[in-house]
Amino acid sequence: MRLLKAMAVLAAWSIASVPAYADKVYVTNEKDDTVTVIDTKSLEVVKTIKVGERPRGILLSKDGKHLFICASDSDTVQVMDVATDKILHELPSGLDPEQFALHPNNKLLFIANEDDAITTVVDAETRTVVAQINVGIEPEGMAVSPDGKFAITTSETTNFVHWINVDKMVLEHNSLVDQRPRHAEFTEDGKRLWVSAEIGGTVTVFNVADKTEIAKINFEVSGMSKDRVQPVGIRFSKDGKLAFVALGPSNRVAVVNAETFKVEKYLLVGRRVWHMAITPDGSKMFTTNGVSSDVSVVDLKTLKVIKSIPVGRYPWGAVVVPD
Amino acid sequence: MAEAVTRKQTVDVPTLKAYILGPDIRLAMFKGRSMNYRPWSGQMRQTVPLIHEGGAVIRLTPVEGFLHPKTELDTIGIDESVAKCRVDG
Repeated sequence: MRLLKAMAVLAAWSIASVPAYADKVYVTNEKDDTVTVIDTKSLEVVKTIKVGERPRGILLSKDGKHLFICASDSDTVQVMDVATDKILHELPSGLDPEQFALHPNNKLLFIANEDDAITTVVDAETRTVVAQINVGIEPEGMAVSPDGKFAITTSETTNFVHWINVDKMVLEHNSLVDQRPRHAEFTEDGKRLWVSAEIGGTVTVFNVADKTEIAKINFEVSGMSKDRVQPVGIRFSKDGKLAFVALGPSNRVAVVNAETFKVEKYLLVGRRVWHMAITPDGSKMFTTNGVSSDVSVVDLKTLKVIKSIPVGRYPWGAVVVPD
Repeated sequence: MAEAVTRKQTVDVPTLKAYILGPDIRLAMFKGRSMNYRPWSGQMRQTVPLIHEGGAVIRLTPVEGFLHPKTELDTIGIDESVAKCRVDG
């Protein structure tokens, strides 16, 4: 018995002495005005940070030093220092920022202003508004192509994908998609653009070179009426072979083959799943479940949900900050 | 109407009417809820909020737990099997 105790102590000591290598997930809690920080290894909540009102979109700067947070009801984008978890300053974002995307140059932030039918472009270094571009009603989804040439806004009420020419800062082309497009995501090679339509219940895939539609993906969850299958967030696996589509109130994440566009599997997660974040090694995915106020952890090797972690109320956005 | 014209790319009235009253139309309603029309009565399938005097939303129907084979929105009001109202006569 004494030996066992000694071994236990030894084991505990050796775990504690391992360098604290762990990436962290930052989750915005829409209703609590906080960000929850989760350790991706222990899968425990390590911290809760007070931020602006109704935080939603969250992203990491290209150099990994800063987090940008859309504080929708504070009408601002907050900049957080990752090393100290302190808010450094706020950026002029235009009214009601919900989602945004950072240009590869790590300077230009493209922000969808939901209430104003505008996309605001902010220089994150000089903290000034560079341009405001009129788009459709209720812009929401934002993406910037990996080559930095195009910024995409989706407008929820006009049902358009707006292609903004970044050099000229003008709207160059509009593509009609299904009802209430909420999220846009470029594949890592920049060749394809995926857009989810929450009410239409579909994901449209575009060929970026000629802006044409090449596929439309439908989802069917057995036992769930079709009007509850509502695609929102999209993420790609690190090898680019799979796409994950959060299906809102159907409480599922669809696993889609990114080449054939076939749905391979539906993962049961928490209630009203909005968005996802994947660890840099590609092994785990975290989903924000708005209604159940928790985060589901998906093991991406086995494609199984392994844990639910309670966070703040109405978790919405998530991003991984590498250690 | 705008949604039907956008999707059908026509101003032909019978085509638009069929689409508006048909099963394929999806209109964005409150809180991202999809909406269309009951084909037998022409009623809009929509959520109904229960509101306190002061204006606070107490509950939004359809109430969770009331299930329906087609859409939970048909748990509100009189359903097709018992409705006497028929829009087509």
